Amino acid sequence: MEIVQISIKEILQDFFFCFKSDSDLTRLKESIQFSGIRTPVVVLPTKEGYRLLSGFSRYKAALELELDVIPATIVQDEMAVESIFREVLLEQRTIHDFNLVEKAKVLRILDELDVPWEDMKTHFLPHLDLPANSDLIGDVKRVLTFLPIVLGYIEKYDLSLKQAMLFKNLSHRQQELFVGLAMDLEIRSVELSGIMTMFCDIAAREDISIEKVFHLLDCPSILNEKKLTRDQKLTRMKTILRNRRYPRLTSWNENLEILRKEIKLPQSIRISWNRSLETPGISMQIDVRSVEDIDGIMAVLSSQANRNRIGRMLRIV
Amino acid sequence: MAILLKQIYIDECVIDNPMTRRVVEMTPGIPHKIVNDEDIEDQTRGISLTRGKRILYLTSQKGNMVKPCPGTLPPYLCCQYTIINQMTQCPMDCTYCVLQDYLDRPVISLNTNLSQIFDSIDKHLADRPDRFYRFGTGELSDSLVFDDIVGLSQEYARFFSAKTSAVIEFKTKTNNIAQLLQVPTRNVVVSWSINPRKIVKAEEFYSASVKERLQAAQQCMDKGFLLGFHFDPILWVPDWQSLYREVIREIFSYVEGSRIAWVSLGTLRFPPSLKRIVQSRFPKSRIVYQEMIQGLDGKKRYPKPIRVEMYQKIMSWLKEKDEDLFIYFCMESPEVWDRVMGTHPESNGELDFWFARSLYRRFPELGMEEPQLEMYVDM
Repeated sequence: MEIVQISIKEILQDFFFCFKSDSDLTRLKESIQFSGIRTPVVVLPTKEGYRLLSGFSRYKAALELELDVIPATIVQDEMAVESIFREVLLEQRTIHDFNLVEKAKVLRILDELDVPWEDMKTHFLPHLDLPANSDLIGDVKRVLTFLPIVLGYIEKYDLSLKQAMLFKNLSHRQQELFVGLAMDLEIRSVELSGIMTMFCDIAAREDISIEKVFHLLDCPSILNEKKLTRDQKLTRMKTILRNRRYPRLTSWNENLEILRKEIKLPQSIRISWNRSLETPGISMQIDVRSVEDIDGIMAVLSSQANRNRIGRMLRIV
Repeated sequence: MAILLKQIYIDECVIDNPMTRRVVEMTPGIPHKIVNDEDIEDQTRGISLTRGKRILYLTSQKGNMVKPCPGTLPPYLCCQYTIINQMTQCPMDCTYCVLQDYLDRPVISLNTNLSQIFDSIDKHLADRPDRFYRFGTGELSDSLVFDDIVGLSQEYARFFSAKTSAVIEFKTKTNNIAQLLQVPTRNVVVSWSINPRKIVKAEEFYSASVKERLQAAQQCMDKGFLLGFHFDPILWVPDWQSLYREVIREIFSYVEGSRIAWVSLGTLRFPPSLKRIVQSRFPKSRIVYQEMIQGLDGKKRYPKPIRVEMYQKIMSWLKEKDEDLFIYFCMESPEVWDRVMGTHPESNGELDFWFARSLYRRFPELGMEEPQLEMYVDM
């Protein structure tokens, strides 16, 4: 196709075919300043102006550099749009793996172009590493209904579809709440998924909103506590969630902890138990470095009061 | 329960099977379609479980359908039950049902090749004639849910009535017993999964009410069948004590303890993957949000102190009604057995033996040989 110079002003800003997330343009701009735009953008003529098919970064860089014209190839045959888009996709695919949001944007474009399912299966889904499963494709498309802040989080931490689907049934306010929490505490997806699940489970069991759980557990004050480090905030948040989610289990473990402290064990003895309480009994690890150690250990363990405490521990576990 | 069906597919290989002919005859208002292997895959690919539960597929299966109950992993004890997987999937819809996660195919498949199943059962019995077997058809479906149209209970009851070392258990949540009432009662245990009515209403959709189940149990008892009751899954709800006490009282207002072959107790447990399915299919259900831990077999279950408390109470209410009931736990740890029963079987084999011993002692009509422990456990 012939390369022509077109006015930048004539290019529409709807970015209909743009599926790639914004990237840093500094190096591209330097390159353009040094040697100009070597690869033309591809455009489709419409009544309103030219619609970009490929070359979004070059176009944005040219805009920032306040260029007047840009080299372009003009697609005259509207029927060829689907195949040209496929070539653009393939080109991008060789440069980098698409993240979930980019895949969702590609699917939206294909929908707009009315690409038949059979063509999708053969020509597009393999490039996107997506199986030909309509439910799953529906879920990928649904990602674009999330708030921009969520999309940013999905891209930043490269969330999988399963992880992103945690946001599926959340209101916008709840999406903001969780992404805010994740960004504040720099939580990656796996950890966030555990925290969100606890919030959602507590809300469902107590029949209250997630927002109410957030405030009931005083999460904003934990997040705003300046004296706490990020790790301390996270630990505190998880502890209060766990206590609320598993109140009886927490209480049994607390009682065990109290009894362990009451036994006043020397440093050479450590008592532990399975916190789920599913494994029977308690474990006792004893370090012996001299014969005298044995006397001390025997004294602690044979006292009637301690035997009673251990008995009480065993009844709990 | 044919009323639950919206479509019947018939594998072209089983068109002339007597069971197929009977189903067709008994379901005049339901569309039938003859299909082959590929058709059924095409017709059912991607359909939801909710839709699949309204489709019956009559077919012939090649693999073995009589096998040991998979139970669960140690240390939890299981009873060495033998399951007959003639039908897979169930038209009823219980929120907690593990089949939602366990079975790949959403439609209800019924294997019409009964002689193949009977051959397998005979082979089992011939392999170990020195021990007593409990067979059941209610593991991957409900034993009686389509009995009005399929009439399987009659075939099984006749087959088992001639055996000397086995019983067949029909486990159900229905009152679909009309066919059953016309057959020999020997070596047949009819059992009901039971829960308080409030739980039945909220979690066991399309099942018979507690009253209907108990009326059916009474009719079966009067006819001469042995009965079974399965408190499984026992669900923790805030008022569980009053609810379970009440349903136990109700059971014994309909039936006599002396005719109950066994009662099982098992609190809710499920593979973690079931949670998402329940959340998606039954958003109003709260069962997956209760306090649960990951058990030593990887399944979610209530923490041990909660299970022990529930079992102790429920067992005491049952024993109040009949001290001689044979009560066992399904998939519980030896420690829980000890805390509730004061003892535990040393192995799955020993639990199997306890069943045989109880049946031998309590039901002489079964004509059993006195069971010997060494026939059930590796000595």
